Amino acid sequence: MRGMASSRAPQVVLADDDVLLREGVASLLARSGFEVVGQAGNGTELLALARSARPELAVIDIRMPPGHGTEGLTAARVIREELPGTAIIVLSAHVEVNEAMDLLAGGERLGYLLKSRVTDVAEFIDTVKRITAGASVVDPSLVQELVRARRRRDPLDVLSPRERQVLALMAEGASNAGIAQRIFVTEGTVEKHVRSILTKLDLPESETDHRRVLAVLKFLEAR
Amino acid sequence: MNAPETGADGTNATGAGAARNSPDQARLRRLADQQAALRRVATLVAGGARPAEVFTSVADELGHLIGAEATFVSRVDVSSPGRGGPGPPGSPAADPSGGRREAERHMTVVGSYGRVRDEVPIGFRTRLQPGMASNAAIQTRHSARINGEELANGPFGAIVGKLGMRAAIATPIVVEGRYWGVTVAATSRADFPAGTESRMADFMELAATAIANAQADQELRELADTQAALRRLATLIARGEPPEAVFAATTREALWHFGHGTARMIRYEPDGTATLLANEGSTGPHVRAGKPWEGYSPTGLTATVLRTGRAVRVDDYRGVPGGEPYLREGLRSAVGMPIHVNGRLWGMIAIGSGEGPLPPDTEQRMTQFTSLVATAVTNAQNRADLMTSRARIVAAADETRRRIERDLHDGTQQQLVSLILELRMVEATVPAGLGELRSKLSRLAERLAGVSDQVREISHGIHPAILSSAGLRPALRALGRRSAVPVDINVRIDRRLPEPVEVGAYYVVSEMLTNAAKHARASVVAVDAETSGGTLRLRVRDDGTGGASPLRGSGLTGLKDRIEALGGMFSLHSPEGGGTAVCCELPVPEGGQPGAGHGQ
Ligand SMILES: Nc1ncnc2c1ncn2[C@@H]1O[C@H](COP(=O)(O)OP(=O)(O)O)[C@@H](O)[C@H]1O
Ligand SMILES: [Mg+2]
Repeated sequence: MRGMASSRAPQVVLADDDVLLREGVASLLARSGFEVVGQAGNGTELLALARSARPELAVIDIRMPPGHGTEGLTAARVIREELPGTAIIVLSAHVEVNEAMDLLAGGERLGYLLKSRVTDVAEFIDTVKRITAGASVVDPSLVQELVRARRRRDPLDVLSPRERQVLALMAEGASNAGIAQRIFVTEGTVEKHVRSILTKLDLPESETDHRRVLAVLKFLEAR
Repeated sequence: MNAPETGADGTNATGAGAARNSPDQARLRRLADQQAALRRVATLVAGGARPAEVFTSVADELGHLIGAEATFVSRVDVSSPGRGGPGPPGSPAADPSGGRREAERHMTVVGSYGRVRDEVPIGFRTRLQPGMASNAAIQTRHSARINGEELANGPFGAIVGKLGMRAAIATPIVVEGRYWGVTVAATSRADFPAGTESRMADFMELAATAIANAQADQELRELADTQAALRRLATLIARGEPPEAVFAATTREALWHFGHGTARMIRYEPDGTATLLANEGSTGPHVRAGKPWEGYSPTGLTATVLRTGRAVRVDDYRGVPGGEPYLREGLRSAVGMPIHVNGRLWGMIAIGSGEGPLPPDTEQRMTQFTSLVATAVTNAQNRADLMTSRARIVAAADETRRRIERDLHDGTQQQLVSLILELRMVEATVPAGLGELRSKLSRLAERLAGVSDQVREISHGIHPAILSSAGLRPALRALGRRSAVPVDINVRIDRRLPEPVEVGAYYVVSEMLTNAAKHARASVVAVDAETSGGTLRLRVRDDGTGGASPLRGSGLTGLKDRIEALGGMFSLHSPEGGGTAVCCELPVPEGGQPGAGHGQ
């Protein structure tokens, strides 16, 4: 697997029909240690580009010509199939849980983010690097929507406020270390919280962070 | 019949033989018989007997009074020429554009007694012709007698010969000052005694009252029947039943009230063809309801009504070229009534009879039915027009919302994001010494990001992209998650529905959730949606305060409009204190493509 371990800059392809925005993201990535090896304006161009460039990362706008629907998601599926080593980030103006689960079902090193996240430059670059390195990431606003949804008999009622916070970070794709850093506790404490959450919600222990994201998302969606 | 005991007989204790033979006694006795006969007829009428029974009883009593072996009572009608009135038996469909014809009289037997019962049954109808006693009676307005050769060679010669009748007397029946009909008596004796004419006339004059009563009764009943039928049909139309149902019901009623065999509704199509919309009664291979009506004769009803736009009758299909299929299905005569819609000939109702020509007032009585059909058709057309225009308005509004959403999404929001991105780049290039400027730029970028979030929310509210991309189920679940009141959602739809239906259902749920949060103080909202048998059923109910009134706002009214524009049904149930429920049913084509089912 190629990745951040290699000494040279990771290669990226970009797909978005909005040229201005695409160029903006390209220059941002270029300044942040990536090599942008190609840009595409629609799904078909993207596939051709990905097949020839075989990049480490593809950053894809979900809504592109010709249908302005979920062409990006379809392209991501094909790339995952043909080039499983390529990390993929799908950007969308709206985040919907069904799209997130659809994408993440494809495996690890996948990200589903609100497009406006790119303007939070440092955080965006950090997320991109995490994904390229193996994490699966779901936009925090989507997770917030899932966690905040009001339920009459809410299974989340068994969790403490701190545990809820940890659950949300798990769903966003943070590792235990990442969670520890975010909520200013030790990794050991996070592990305790995670075990308690899994027991209370009757969720299976997951071998990878990616599986953990999927399991939590699924639980929250069905809640 | 048995002449009852009369006072004249009973009081004569002595010299009975002589007394009976005196002319006075004979007159008295006849008078008493007559009185008794009339009393019996009057009793029948008072008991609500059917007119045929009354008329038959009149014929019966008359026969006994004057010693006739065969009697019948018949109604006489005059057809005015030029109205498509009855033609002579065997004539083809009357051509209303044809020249003036002589006024013709027909008689229709309404009561019959004795040996003529089989030969001249009730309903028997024939044209009055010279050589008939009835014709002479009607023309002279006095009793007329025919006997011997004249009778044997007359129009009734065959029947008269068969029954062995040798003399006949006809007497006009005048009811309420109008010539109503004629009664005919016949005998197998050489002739009736002298004076029989006046005895007949006396009796018929008195019986006329009974006849008038019976007839009035009959007409009243028919009127009531017809009114009831018209009311039933009008109710169907007012309820907005589909025109097909109205057509079928009208055809059924037309057969019941006017036909003696069949009733049909035929629509003239713009391309010159005709369609059989409904059929009741007799049938044949040429009768295929819902299918083109073809192979009809150019001189028959369908062609003639189409050509003339007027009522047309056939008095005997044997005289109509191409009339064979109708004869084979047992029809003898028919009337076709045009149906005009908005001044255009739309179709016709035809009724047929297996007996003689249809009564002359058939056309006039049927006009009320045809105008109801016209109303039903106009209503249906207006409704269809209204529906299309409402659907068009809703579709146009939805299209506009989609376009605005697209513009915001692909235009405004993208530009905002790239602007912020650029601002961030500029921020990054600010020299370390200019910390103040850098933080100002940063704040600017954050504020712009806030604007971008707002635009996203607005565009989502205008048209939820997820609805088009993923369908109703994920869209409703997303709505539920964003609701301020907890929502139980149960969606059993496994395929994509037509876009207007999905959008309509989405807005119903969206508005109901907003209302539940805004007005209801509800603790939970239940949303159930399922498709079955070509219908989407959607139910949204909250457990709040109830008492919702569409008049106080615009949301609920808008929903009702939208759902009805899609040909659906919308109902609101919101009793004070009993929560609020909305039920919708929307027609959706069966089958369809399986949807992108996500989630559970
Ligand atoms: N779920 C509800 N429970 C109680 N009252 C309601 C509910 N929905 C609507 N209403 C009442 O009916 C009125 C009309 O509702 P609506 O047509 O949606 O208009 P709006 O919400 O804009 O006022 C509301 O103003 C409110 O008084
Ligand atoms: Mg409202």
